[in-house]
Formats: sequence, C-alpha cells, structure tokens
Amino acid sequence: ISCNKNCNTMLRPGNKKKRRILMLDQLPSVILARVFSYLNQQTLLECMLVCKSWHKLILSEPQCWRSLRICTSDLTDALVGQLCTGVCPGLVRLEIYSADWPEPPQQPGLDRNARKALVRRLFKSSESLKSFSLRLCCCRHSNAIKTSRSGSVSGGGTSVDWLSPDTILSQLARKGGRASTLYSLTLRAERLTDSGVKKLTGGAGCAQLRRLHLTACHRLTDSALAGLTASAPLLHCLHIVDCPLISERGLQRLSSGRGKDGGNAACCLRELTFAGQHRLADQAKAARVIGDIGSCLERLSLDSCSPHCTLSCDQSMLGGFQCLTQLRLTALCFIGDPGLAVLAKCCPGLRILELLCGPTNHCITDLGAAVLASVAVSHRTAAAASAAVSPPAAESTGLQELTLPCNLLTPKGYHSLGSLGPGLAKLCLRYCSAGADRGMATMPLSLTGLRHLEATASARCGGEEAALFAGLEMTRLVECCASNLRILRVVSNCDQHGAGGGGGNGSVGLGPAALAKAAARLSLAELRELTLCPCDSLTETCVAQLLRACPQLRHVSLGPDIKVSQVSIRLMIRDTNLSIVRPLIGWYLRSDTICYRDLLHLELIQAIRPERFCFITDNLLTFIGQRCPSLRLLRLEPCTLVTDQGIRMLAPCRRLQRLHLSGCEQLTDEALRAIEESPGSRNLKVLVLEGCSRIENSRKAAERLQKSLVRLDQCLLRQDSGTGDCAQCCLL
Amino acid sequence: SQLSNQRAAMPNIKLQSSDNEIFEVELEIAKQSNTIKTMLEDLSVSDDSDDPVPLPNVNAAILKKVIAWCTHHKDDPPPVEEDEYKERRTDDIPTWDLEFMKVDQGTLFEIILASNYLDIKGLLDVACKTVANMIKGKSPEEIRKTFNIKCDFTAEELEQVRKENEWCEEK
Repeated sequence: ISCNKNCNTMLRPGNKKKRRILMLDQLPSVILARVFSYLNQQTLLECMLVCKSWHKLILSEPQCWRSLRICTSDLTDALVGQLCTGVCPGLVRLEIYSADWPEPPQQPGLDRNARKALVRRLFKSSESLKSFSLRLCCCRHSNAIKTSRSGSVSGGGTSVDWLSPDTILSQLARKGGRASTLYSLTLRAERLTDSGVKKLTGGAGCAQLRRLHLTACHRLTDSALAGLTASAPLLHCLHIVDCPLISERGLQRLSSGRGKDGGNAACCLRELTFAGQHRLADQAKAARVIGDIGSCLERLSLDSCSPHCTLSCDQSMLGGFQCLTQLRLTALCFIGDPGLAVLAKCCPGLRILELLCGPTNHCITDLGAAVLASVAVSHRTAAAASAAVSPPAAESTGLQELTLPCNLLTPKGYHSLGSLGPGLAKLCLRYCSAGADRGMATMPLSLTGLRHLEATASARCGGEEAALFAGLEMTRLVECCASNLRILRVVSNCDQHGAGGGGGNGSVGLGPAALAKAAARLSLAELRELTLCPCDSLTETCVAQLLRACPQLRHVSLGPDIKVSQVSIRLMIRDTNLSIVRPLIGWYLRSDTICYRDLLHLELIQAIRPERFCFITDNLLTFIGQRCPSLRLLRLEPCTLVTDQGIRMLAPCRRLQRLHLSGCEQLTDEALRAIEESPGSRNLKVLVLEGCSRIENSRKAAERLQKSLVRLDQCLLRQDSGTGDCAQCCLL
Repeated sequence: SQLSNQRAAMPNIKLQSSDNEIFEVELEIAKQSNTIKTMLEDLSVSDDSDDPVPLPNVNAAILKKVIAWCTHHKDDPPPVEEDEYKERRTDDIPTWDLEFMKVDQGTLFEIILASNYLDIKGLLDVACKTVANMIKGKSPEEIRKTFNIKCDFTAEELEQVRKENEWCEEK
C-alpha cells in the first residue's frame, strides 16, 4: 500500500504486483491547481474539456489562473461575472486586447458605461494583479474594413473603438483599481493620450511600478513620459518603441527629475530600450542624455528609424556605463573600433554585445576584434589568478554573446575572435565575406562553449565573385563545440546551381551541405535549431539521418529558406530543387516524432515555377486536417491540384482564421459549400481563393458565405489567379 | 546555537518511512524539507536522541527518491523570490531533474504528494512542471489517454463547453 489514507487508490488491471497506483485525478485539488498554474490559457481550455471535475476546478479555483488574456469583444456581463469569482482573484497578469478585426455585428451592443463597468469589475476583483497589459489595434485595419464592407455596416468605425485606452486607464487608476500596486505596465494603444496617462500618475501614482513598456503610442508626448516616470520611483526598466512624439527630452526629464527627488540616486534605470524614434531633435544631445542616464544601466538597446539621425556611440556616451552588461545597437547607431575600445575600458561587466545594423554603420576591423580578444584574455588570466586563491571563481566574466559585422575582418581578425575563449556562448558573424573562409580555416579552436553559432553572408552583389562567403570551414568550428551547440545557422552565398545541377562535385555549394553531413556524423545532441542555406544538394536520406542524429531538433531550415518548426511552417520557395521540399513537408507531416498540435501558421508561398508545387494535393490537406488542429492560418500557393474533396478534409481545423488558397482552378461551388458547412469555418475571418474560374457567380457566392459565416470579414474570390490585377476580383 | 552544536556532533538524522524502513541522512539534506526542519525545532531533538523522525505519509520507495533529490540539490543556493509577475515557465527543468522525473506516473504523483507533505518547494515545483509538460500540447482526448481519465461529458455537453469557452481562444 503505497499511498496515504487521504487519497483513494485503485487497482490497475494487469499489474502483477497488485500495487495500488496513484492517479492524477486523485491528487488533492490544491495540487492539481498548482499544476494547472503552469499552463497557459490555451492549454487550460483543453483541460476544461477533459472531464467534469477538471472543468469545475479550473473555473472555480483562482489558483489555476496566473495570467489571463482577454479580447474586448468577448467581455460580456455574464463572462465577467464568472471571471470575477473563479479566475480574477488569483490573477497576476492581465492583458486586455482588441482583435485585429472588429467584433461581429450581431454581438449584443453594450453602451459605453456598461463597458466601463465591466472593466472596473475586472480590475477590482483581480486583487493580486501585478502586471497589466493593454493592446489595442484600432487604426491599422479600420480603412481596410470600411472598403471591404463597402458601407454594409454603417457603424464599422465605432465598433473598432470598444473603449478608449484613456477610459480603461482611468478605471485602472480608480480607487479599487490596481495602478498603485502594479509592477509592470505595458501599453500599446495608438489613441492613448497624455490625459489618459495623467490619470495614472495622480493620487498614489504607480508607486510599485518596475517595468514600463510603451509601444506604438503615437500620441504620447515627452511630458506624459516625464509624469509617469516621476510617479514611479522604483521604475527600473523602460521600453519605448515606436512612439514618435517621445524624444530625448522625455528621457532627459527622466534623469534630471530623478536627480532632484532622489538625491544621490540620480537615476536607477537598469534597462532601457529606445527604438523607432523619428525625431531626435539633437543627436549629440541625445547621446549625452542617454550617457547621463547610464550610471546604473545594465541593458541598453538603441534603434532609430530615421535616416536623419545617427547616434554616435563614443566616449561621451558610453564612458559612464560602468554597470552595462548588455548592449544592442541597431539601425543607425554608429560604432567603430574606438567605440569598442571605450566599451572594453569602461564596461568590465559587458556580457552581451549585439551590433545589428548594416555593414556600413559599424566599422569593426581587425583592431576592434583584437580589443575584444585582449579583454577576454585578461578576464581569463584574472579568473585563473583568483581561482588559485579561492576555488569557486565566478565563471561568468567576459563576453558571453557577440554579434558583429565581419565584412572588414581579415584572417587576423578571425584569429582574434577565435581566442575569445570557452566563455562565449553565442557568436553571430554577419556579412561574412571570403575572408571568413580563410579566417575560419586557421582560427584557434578555443570556442568550446558555444551554444549558438551563426555565420551569414552579406547580400550578393553581382560580379564580386571574390567576396563570396562559402562557409567551407564551419565544420571545424562546429566540431569544437559539438556537445553544447543548440542553434546553428549558416547562410553562405555559394552557388547552389553549380552543385545541384550536377556540374561535378567541386567544393562550390558543398559548404552548408557538407556541414549538414558533418552534423549527422557528429550527433549534435543538444541542437534545437538548424538553418543551412543553400542546401539543395542534400538527399532525403541525409535529411533523415540528420534528424535522427539530432534528437532535440525542433526547427529546421534547409535550402533557400525552407523552414519547418513547431509553431510555424513557412516555406518560401523561390527557385529550388523540389527533391528537398517534398520529402521535408511530407516527412514532417507524417512523422510522429514532432508535435504539430501547436502549429499555428502554415504558409507555402512565392513560387516562381508553379509546376514544382505538385505536392500540394488533397492528400496534403488531409494530413493538415488530421495533424494540425491548432492551425490559424493556412496559405498554399499555388494549389492547382486541390479539389473540393481536399477542402472538406480541412474540417477538423476548427481554429482556422485565415485561409488563402491561390490558383485553385479545380474548385467548384461544392468547395464553397464545404467551407460553409464545416464546423471549422465558424472562426474564419479571411478567405481568399484565387483563380477559381469554375465558380459560377463568385460575387453571389461571396455574399452567401459572408451571411452564413458570422466572423468572416474579408471574402475574396478571384476568378483569375493574377496577384496585382484586381479588376475581376470580387470585394465585399 | 544548540542546533549547530548538535550538527557538528551528529550530522546525521534518521527518518522512518510509513513502512518502517529507517534512512540515515545528513541533517543539512533533511532540512531542505520545511516539515522536517520545523519538527526538529519543535521537538528540539536532544543530542543523544537516536529516535528516528516518523514520516507516516511517505513510503520507503518514495522517501528514497526524495532523499536522492535532496542530496543532489543540497548545495543549491536558497531559492530566490521569483519575479512573481512573470509568466511561469516549464522548460527550465535542469537535465538531472529531467532524468530524475523519468518514472511511472504513480511514482511521480506520489513524489508530488510526498514533497507537498514534506514541504520541499523545489521538488514540488519540478514535479508539478513535469506533469504540466505532460499536459501541454495535447488534445483533451490525448490528455485523458495519458492519465487514464474517463470522459464524463456527453457530446452535447462538450460542444456546450466549447461554445462557452470561445472567449478563451486567441483572436
């Protein structure tokens, strides 16, 4: 008897020892609720369908729910009532979002006050709420909707605006709201205005706020940001992305305001993202302001979208960043060898360095690489010295992740990179040229700790054959870190046709393919993601070998942009050898080893030669119907061989929201009937069928579909399969 | 200070399982269980006491597993207060624990009960995560099959629940 008295045990037939085996549903509900607290909303939903007791437990035990995402169009009186008793009291995270498309017209209309009351109740009952996120997409699609519905729904514009973000925030700021106890606030709302934010800052303000994310708040200005940060003394993480009215002035107030209030704690910001800004008034000043904030900064990410502002990251800016551990510079932030030298001198704690913009903005030469290498060496000698004194030396000193443009590096530079040591976990070499091949051939093999290795070639410029990166010597690097490697990406620009076309098996084109074979031989036990491109010459057998040799592999991308992943399959096939495409997709969909339950998006697009898509048949749709129940988006182009029967096979995809099938010349009215009748179509929002010349009256058919499928917002039945020409298309 | 003296003198204590098997464990390892820790403090076990601590809710097989886990994790840093407002993850189980949790379901659930009773937060978390991972990515039917649960919904009721749950689905 193996179990305590409190839980019922039962005999399982066929067990020789007749030991009593404990079952999951016999665990006390508190423990079951604890298990459920690790599941997300979608999985909880599946669990509710398992049995009555689970259904009841999940809806009544608030401990099951830590986070809740809810769409504005679903907020009804009855639902909110239910949520407030069984779900909200345990909530730590709440997100309110609006769907991309407006609510269906027959949704019972609630007036503004009723909606306000619902939001208020949600906040009030979420006693332990720590994180609130508001994501409203309002403007993006409103125009499209107006044209697509061509006046049939007069109130299209108002239904988009369920409740203004200002009103929602004012409910959050009310007494009984949660503004003053929130740790994290995320706002993505184009219509949010300063006055909405001011409501938050009144009263107790955001006394507990640690993290603030502002994304696409197009109307928010510097003064709102200043007010918000002033009312949040504990704020240590600030992300501002794509808020065009916020400039360096908002940040400046942040640093000076803190200086006045907090005395010596001039600014305790530890994390700053400042991206997508269009109007930095004064770039030199912006750099200075960011430099002023920097004394406690650990993570900094800078990105600008405007071609008119280039932030120069030099001594004046980077000099004060003693605590920096992570630096990410994209787009038009400029850094060169001198900047790297400053970083090496001033930021001893730097762990992650990402230089992500084009090759012209970051001028890193062998000198810069040598600086990085010398820092790594000094860290290692320091670690060795301290290890001699006290055994448990902190292993995590020196750079752990490095991304840099390599277009200017010569073999000497690669030699420096190669001596960065086993502490480096991620190395991304971008814009590799022929120098990379020569460099890698002689690189010292000290990078045994790599978990992520990436080498991508610069875009190919015609005629510059000498500058091509072939990826020939990558195998050396992979071998030295084989047991740790999780992600491997190699994109070379060697000529695929040279190898695939059977023009002798010279070294050209064998880089990535050879690497794939090496990977199969090396048995990369930890590898999760593999991208090798181009890789067309690989045979099906070799792919199968590779997949067997790397048991953890979840995301594969071989050949020019062929990707297979757990959550999204997106095959962008330009002009490739089908022999690889067909087995891959078929292999995967038939394989039991990979779970397709989570597959959300499946796209096969951009074909230049349609005849290569002969594998998109009813058979494939049958597989998809059986294996991909979570699918939201299905896009197959062109699917000339699909018939009405195939469309019927999609019925089990009950969550399908977008269906794009192009070139479906075989389809008849029967297919439309199948779509209409399928229970899977009830969530359909967008239906695009192109080239369905056999459908008699497509306008009428589209109207009928729109009537019977309540959520359908866009129904496009083209008679031709042309993409640009909309003359014959039928827009509703 | 009495306790620390006692530790220096007698670093081991004895634990007695429900089926009366005695396990001798280092005190520091046993004290990962808050239940045992409290018991020791409340009972203020004297130096020469050789009496085993009775654990009537845990059998020998499971207690052995629990001790193995605690032994491997004895040098773990004390659990940091997690960032409570962040999403809970289940993909961060250490490799050793993943291996440790490769047991039949009955054993796994008993480990959960035992760690709950003994109040070993780390073990309870890892075990709950393991069960959560067994649920993730499965359809209701597969979940039932995995855990041998009978569906007591009728087809109409299922459809009804599905309909009621539409709000839950991602838009």
